[in-house]
Amino acid sequence: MPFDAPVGGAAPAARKRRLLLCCALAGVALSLGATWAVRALLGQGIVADLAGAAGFALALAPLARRDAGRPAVPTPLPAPALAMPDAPTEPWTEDAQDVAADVAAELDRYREVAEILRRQVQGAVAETEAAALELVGRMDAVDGGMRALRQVLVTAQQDAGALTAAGSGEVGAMRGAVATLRTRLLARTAQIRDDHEIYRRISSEAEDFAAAVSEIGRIASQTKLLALNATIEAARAGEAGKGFAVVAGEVRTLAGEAARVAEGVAQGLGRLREVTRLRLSDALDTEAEDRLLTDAAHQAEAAEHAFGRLADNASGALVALEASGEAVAGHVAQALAGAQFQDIVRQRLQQVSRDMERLGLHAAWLAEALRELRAVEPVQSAILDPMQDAYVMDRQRVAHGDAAPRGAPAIELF
Amino acid sequence: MKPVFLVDDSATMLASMASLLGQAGQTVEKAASAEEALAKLKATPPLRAIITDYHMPGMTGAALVREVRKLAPYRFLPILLLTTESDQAKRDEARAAGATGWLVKPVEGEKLLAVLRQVAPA
Repeated sequence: MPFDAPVGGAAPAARKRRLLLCCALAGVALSLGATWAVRALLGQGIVADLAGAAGFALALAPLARRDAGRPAVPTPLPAPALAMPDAPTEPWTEDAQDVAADVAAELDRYREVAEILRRQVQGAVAETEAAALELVGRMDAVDGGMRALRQVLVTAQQDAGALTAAGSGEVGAMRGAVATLRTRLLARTAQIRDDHEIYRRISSEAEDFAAAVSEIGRIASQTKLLALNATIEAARAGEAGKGFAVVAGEVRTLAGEAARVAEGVAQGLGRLREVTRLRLSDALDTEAEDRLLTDAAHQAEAAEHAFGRLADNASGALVALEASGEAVAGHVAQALAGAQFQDIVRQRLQQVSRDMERLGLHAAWLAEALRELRAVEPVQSAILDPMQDAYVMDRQRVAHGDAAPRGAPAIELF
Repeated sequence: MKPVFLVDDSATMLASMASLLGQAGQTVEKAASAEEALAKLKATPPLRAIITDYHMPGMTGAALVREVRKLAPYRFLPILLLTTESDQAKRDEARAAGATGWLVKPVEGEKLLAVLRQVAPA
């Protein structure tokens, strides 16, 4: 039943009940509408605040106290958007007029309530925007960190590669030098073995020669003794033995000379044997040199392998980081794209904010109509239709009560 | 690589889209309204594409497309609408104005980059 129907024929009590019922229904609609809209948008703490504020509005609606001195609406209301015909005026009872005035005063306060709710919603919008921008900043930092880390590993891999290449060159040169040294050592060893055989033969000949020299010495000594005996016998022979004595003396001199020569030869042979022994000892040291060269070659190979492992490790770390980096980049991209939800929520909350303002205006207009017994604009045309016309998202339309979304593709290239 | 021009009244959208494109090695120019975009276009180097919102204070994204198409250097520039608007009439309006494509938020990052690569190869 429209609120602008004639009411003159009704009894005062019935009329009062109808007034109260209408105002209470308007209050319920305003409060539940605001609460539902915000609750549908956010599952956060601000819902409780907004719902509490809406509950406060709900509590105001059925009030019909006769207290005087209500606070006035802070700002003048704009003129109603629609020109409605005046309702037939008939004299009200004094009680009905008082109740109507009280209800109108309470309805005036709905604009204040709506403004509080609007500020709450705007605050929520600002907070979500700040949080989203913070998130974007942190995602940028994560992406920047990954890029920096990757650059560090790329540089490390390049350095390791260069080091490996340089090290391999040096190791190769070292191995070449070792091979050359080994070749020379082998040649030297063969030469020394030949020399060793020669020295051994010299030593053997020297031994034999020393024995012969020793025999010569012994013969010289016996010759010297015989010469002495001959000198004695020559002396015993008298004048006839004088010539023989001269010969015996010469023989003794020659035997002594031969003994000294044999002694000198024996000493020379001794020195020769000592030199030969030292040369044979030198030949044995070449095996130690060969072992040193082999160790050097092994160390060069180990260094080359170490360089290779270093490069492989850096390369492996880079590959692992590339894989992780791609995964992180994907998550970062998704998180950045997810910031679009803040824009979606912002737009829905801003529309709720505008609708709350519209609710407040309509409540004030209801109050004015009540005071002046004017016809009212229906909620449908004053609030619901403009709300519906302002929707931009399918989800808004579905939440409003549309049966199904429009179904257009999310991405369309013309 | 030529920059992509982002036009949106949402600071969050401008920042997140700039980061998303930047992650893919794409540079961007930004404007917070269609009017600011038109003013900046005169001093902007050659662009790879424009990605604009539809609902903005003042001129809409479709109106921006109409105005951009009047500028000779941008007559064939790819222009994508990235918007929450799902109304077919507004989509048709953008198409008639000369828009290249219509994307309804939220769009996954990889899909947005794929569309950009399709309409405006680097």
